[in-house]
Amino acid sequence: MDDDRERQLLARVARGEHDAFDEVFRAYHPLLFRFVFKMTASYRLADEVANDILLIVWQTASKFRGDSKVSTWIFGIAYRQSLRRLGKRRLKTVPLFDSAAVDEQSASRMEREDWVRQAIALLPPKQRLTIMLVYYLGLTCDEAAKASDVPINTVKTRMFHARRKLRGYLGDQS
Amino acid sequence: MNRLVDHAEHDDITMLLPWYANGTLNEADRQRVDQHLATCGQCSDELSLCYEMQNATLADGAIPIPPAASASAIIGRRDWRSRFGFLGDRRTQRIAAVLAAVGLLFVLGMMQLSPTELPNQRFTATTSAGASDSMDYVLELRFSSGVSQAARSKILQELGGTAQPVGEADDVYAVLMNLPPQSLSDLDQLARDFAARDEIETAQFVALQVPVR
Ligand SMILES: [Zn+2]
Repeated sequence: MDDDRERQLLARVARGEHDAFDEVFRAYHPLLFRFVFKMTASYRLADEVANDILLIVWQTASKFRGDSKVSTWIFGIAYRQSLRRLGKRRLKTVPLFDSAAVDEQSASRMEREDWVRQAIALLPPKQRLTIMLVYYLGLTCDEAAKASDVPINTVKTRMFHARRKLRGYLGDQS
Repeated sequence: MNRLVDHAEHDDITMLLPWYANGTLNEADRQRVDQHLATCGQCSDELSLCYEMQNATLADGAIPIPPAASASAIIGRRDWRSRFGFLGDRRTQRIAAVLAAVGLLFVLGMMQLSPTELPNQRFTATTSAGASDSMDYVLELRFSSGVSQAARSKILQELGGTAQPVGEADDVYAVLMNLPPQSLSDLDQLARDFAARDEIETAQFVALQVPVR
């Protein structure tokens, strides 16, 4: 759906038109569900947060200022809601990347991609969420900054520090 | 080949690599990155990691199919809220207060019936309460970074004005809010609504002040 179309829809949502909201809901719910699931690995939480995000869209559509794409605005709500939940939730993460805990054999069995995925899960919530905005949702630097309500340089720095940390977890050189 | 790497350029380019990887750089920046990559091994390594992170993030194999949810179920669940609370008229507030008081009594009753399984451990009600017109709830509010003092004051005023900073941080406040009795899930929703505002990072009701009789 292009942004013009989404702006029209959101204006109708702001007027309380149910069928417009229904269209927004169907366009975004599956994506938001996957977005949250990837970070929480919880079906229940993903469902709950996706619904919360869309409820906020419904309730605050009239506050959309139009200075970003509609999708960026919605992803901003997703960012904040996910951050709230991630902040509360202490994920049970085993420090898999403690080199002493992983012997040579199991290390080679594990796909590198799995390593990277699990290492990402160990990053601080704001870094993980920024990674999701950029790599999963494919936002530009400017959009990611708007969605997370921080300056562009902060977004760049978060992505940079995430790589530094990840290299540490993965035991990479450099 | 130019072996002398321009350090300022390197620092700039390193920061742009995630967006080179996700394909959203503008043409000029993309060409700059291409040129730099031809001479900088370190940035090439960084870019490989960016691609790995992107692939790991995009892989959708383990994701379950979302539940069949519907827009109307969500709206229907909480649409009444727009006619309630601070925004509602007095009469509606009265009716809602009575309904909510019944809910609160039920919850408090549950707490007494099964003291080991508090419905919500965040709440510390030290005395029992009868149905009353309004109650004092403590909202813990954290402002987003960069919100000016003036903007903070304005919001705290909006919320009733009785607020005090919590702990060392100067961006967290405990706000005393006088509301008609609310169910715990209503309070959670209300806090979520606050947290949805740009200026507010997190909001959570942390306590209930009950009048001692
Ligand atoms: Zn470089």
